[in-house]
Amino acid sequence: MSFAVSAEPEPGAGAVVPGAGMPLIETVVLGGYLGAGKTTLLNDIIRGADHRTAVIVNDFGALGIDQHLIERFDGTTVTLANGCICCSVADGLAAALADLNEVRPRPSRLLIEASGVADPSSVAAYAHRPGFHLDLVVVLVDGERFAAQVNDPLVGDAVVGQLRAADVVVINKIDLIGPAQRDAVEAQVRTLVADRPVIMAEHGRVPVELFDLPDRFTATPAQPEPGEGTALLVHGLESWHQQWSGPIGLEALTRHVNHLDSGVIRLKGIVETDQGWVVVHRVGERTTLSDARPVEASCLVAIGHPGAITETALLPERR
Amino acid sequence: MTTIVYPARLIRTMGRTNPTAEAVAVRDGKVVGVGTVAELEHLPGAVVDRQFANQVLVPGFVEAHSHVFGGGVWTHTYVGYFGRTDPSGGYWPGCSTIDEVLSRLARAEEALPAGAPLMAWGLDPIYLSGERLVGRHLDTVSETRPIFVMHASSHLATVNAALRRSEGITAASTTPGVVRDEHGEPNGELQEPAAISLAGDVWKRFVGEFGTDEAKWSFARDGCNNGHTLLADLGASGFTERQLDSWRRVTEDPAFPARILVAASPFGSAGSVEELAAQVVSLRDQSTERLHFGVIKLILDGSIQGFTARLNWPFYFDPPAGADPNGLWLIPPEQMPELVSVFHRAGLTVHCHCNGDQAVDVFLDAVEAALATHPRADHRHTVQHCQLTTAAQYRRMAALGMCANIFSNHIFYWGDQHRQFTVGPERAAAMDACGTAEALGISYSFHSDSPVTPLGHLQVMWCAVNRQTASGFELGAEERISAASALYAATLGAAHQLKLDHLVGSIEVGKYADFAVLDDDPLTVDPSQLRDIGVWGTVLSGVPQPAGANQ
Repeated sequence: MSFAVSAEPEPGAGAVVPGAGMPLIETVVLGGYLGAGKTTLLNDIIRGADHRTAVIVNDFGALGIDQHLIERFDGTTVTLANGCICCSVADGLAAALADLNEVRPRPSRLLIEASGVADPSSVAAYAHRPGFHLDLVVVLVDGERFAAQVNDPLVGDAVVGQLRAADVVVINKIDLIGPAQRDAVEAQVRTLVADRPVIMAEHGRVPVELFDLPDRFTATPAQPEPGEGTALLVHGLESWHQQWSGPIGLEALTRHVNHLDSGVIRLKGIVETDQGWVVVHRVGERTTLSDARPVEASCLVAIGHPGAITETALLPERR
Repeated sequence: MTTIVYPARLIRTMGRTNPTAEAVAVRDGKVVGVGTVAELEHLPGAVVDRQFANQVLVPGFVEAHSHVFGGGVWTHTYVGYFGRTDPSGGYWPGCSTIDEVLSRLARAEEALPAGAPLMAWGLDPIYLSGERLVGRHLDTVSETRPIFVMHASSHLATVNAALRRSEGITAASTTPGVVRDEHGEPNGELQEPAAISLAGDVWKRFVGEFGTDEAKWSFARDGCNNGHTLLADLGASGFTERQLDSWRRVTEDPAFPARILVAASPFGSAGSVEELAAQVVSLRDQSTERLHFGVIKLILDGSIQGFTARLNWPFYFDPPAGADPNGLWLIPPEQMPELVSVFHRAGLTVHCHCNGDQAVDVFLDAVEAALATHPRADHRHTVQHCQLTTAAQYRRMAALGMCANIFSNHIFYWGDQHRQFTVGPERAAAMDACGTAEALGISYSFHSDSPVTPLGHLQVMWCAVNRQTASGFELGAEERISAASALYAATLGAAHQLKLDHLVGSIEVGKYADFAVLDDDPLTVDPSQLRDIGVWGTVLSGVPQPAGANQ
C-alpha cells in the first residue's frame, strides 16, 4: 500500500472538524473486482485534479502496475504495512490515514483504491474517523465479464458483495459489448443495487465532475453573481448549479434534499441556513449535513440524468 | 581447537545411520561426532561436559510458521482464558471470569508510570461466564488512565471511558463497529480494524511494540524456552529496511538465542513483486548463521473460526447471522498464477496461507501452471495451515512436489467449535490431517502460528499425536500420527520446507549443533504426557541456552 500527495496546496472550503475548524478530508473509495477499471479511473481523476489530492492504493504491489500508472505525482511515496485478517494485528490502512491526517498543508481530498477483492464497505469504514468525511463509494463493474464473474464459484459472492457498499455503480467497458448484453448487465446490476445510481461508461471514462464537485466551492467566491445553469457531460449526464444569497430554513433544505429524484446521482453544496452554514452531501440514498465555514454565497451543484436535475432547483417558494 | 562432548541420557538424532546415541561432540558450533563417550573423548581437544547427563537431546525444534509479534505482545498484559508462559519463563494462569480479568488489569495498572496507557491482549469473551465485559467494567480499574484490551481473535477490542475521552470516541462517532449501549453511547467495544484503530495513539503504541528489537528478543527467548532453535517469522507485513536492520542488529548479537528465517510478502512491500523477488534472492544469498531468507509468504483466505476462510461445497456448517456466505479472498484468485510464477521463476519458495480447501485449489492450480511453463525440481512450495486440505488435494500436492505445514494446534484450541459450528463433525474429524499427508508421502510439518496459539512444538506434537479437543473429545482418530513422526515433523519436516534441512533439523556431523534439551524422551513417554515434558532449554551452535525459568 502506498500513498502520495499532489503538490498543489489549495485547501478548499468544506465541512470542518467540529470545534477545531479544520477542513475534513473528503474521501472517495473506488472499489470493484480485478480488471473493472479502477486504476484507469483513478488516473483520470488525478489528471483532472486542481487542488490537494491524496491517494492511497490499498493493495500489494499488484504486480507492479498500479503505482506506475499513477501519473503527475511528484510528492513523496510512502509505503506502509498492510494488515492480514489472521496473521497480523498491524493495520496498514488505519496507519496510513493517521499519517495523512498530520500532513501539512492539509489535503482536501483523498482517493482510496481498494484491492480487487476488498469489500469496499470495510475500506470505507475507515473514512468515518476524525478528520475525514466519507464522500462517495464508487464500485466499478466490468461490463464485459460481469455475468461470468457473478456465476464464478470462486469470486461470484465477492463481486456481488462489493455492490452492497456502492453509493454509485459504474458499469464500465460497455464499448466492448452489444446492446443486448449491455441491457442484460444493467438489469442484473439494478436488481442488486435497487434505486442507487448506475452510470454506463466506456474505457473507464466517467465524468470527473462526479468526483470534483467540491472544486466548485473554491470557485464560488470568484463568481458571486446569483444564478443557475446546466452543462452536458459525457454519456448523457448533465451537471447543474445554483447560487444565491441569504439564509434559508434548515428544515426546508433537509426536506428538499431528501426528496430528490432518483435520477440525481450526486448533490453537494454549501448553504447558509437559519442555523448557520452547512455542507450538504447527497449521493444515491445517503444524505449528510455537517457544519461548514461561511463562504460568500450559498451554492448547490448536482450531477445526474437529464430531466432529473431540472427538478433539483431549490426554488424560492421551496425555501 | 576445543571439542565439547555432551553425554546425555539419550540422544535422538533423527539421522538414519545413528538414530540414537550416547553423546554428541561439538566443534566450531557444529556437530563433529555422534556416538559413545568412549568414541568421542578421543577427538582432538575433547572436553566432556556432563551437564545434560540426565536429559534427552533431540534436534532443536523448528517452527516454520510463527510471528515475531508473538514476542511483542508480552509487553502488554495477558488476560486470555488458557494459561500461557511468557518469554521470561513466567507463567500467566488463564482468566476464566471477568473478576479475574479485572484484578489482573488492576495489578498491572498499579505498576504503570503516570500517563502510560494500560494495554492488554488475549481476552476471549466466549470463555467468560456471565455478562459481557465492556467499558464500564474497565472503568473500575481506572477512570483516568486509558485502557485498551485486544481480544484473542484480534477482531475486537474493549476500551474504557478514559480512552474514549482522550481519542474522541463519542456518541457522534459514525464508524461501523463502535458498539453502543441502550442510551446510544459507545459501550467500549470496538469491532473490526476500522473501529479498533479509533483507539488512535494507544492503538499505535499497542502495535508499535511489535516491531522493536525487544520484541525480537522476546520471540527468540520464547522459542528457546520451548526447545526451538529456528523460528520462521512468517509475518505478512513489515518487510521494510528498518525491520531488516532491526533483524540484522539482534541476530548479530552472539547472545541472541535462536536462528530466524524472515519470510517476505508483497503485502506491505514498496515496489513491484519482481523487485521483491530480486531483493529476497539477494538477501537469501547473504544469509548469515542466524538470519535466513528465501521464503515468500502469501495469504489467500481468512480463518475458519472467523468464517472467513474459503471453503468448497457444502461451505460452512452453522455460520452466524451476517457472516459472508463463503469467507473472503485476500488475493484475487485470477492474480495467483502470475504472482506465484514471479517467485517460482526467481527460484524462491512460496508459502501460501490456505485455511479452506477452496483456497488450496487456487494455490495448487497456480503452482501447477507455474511448473508447466517453468519446470523446476525441488521447489518445496508449501501450503500453510492446510486445515481442510482433502486427500485428493494431498495427492495432487505429492504429484506437484509440494510440502504441507499443518495447523495441528487447532484441534485442541478450536476443535470443539469446528465440530459444532464451522464445518461440522465429519469435516472436523478430517481437519489438520497429518495422517493422510504422511500416508501420501507429503513432506509435512505443523505449527503454532504464535501468538495465535502458544509457541511450543511439544504442545503441537501432543495435538497431532492425540487429536484431543479442549473438552477432551478425540477428534478424528484416523488422522493421528506416531510420536516418532511428530518428532520428525517438528524438526526435519519443518527444516525441509524452509530449505534449511542441510543445516539444521537433525543431529548429524556437519550440521549446526542445535539441540532441544528435554527432561524426558518424547518417543517413549505416554503419548498423553507429550506436552508435559519439561524443557531445560536449548543448545544453539553448541552453546547451552537455558530456558527463562532456568536462568
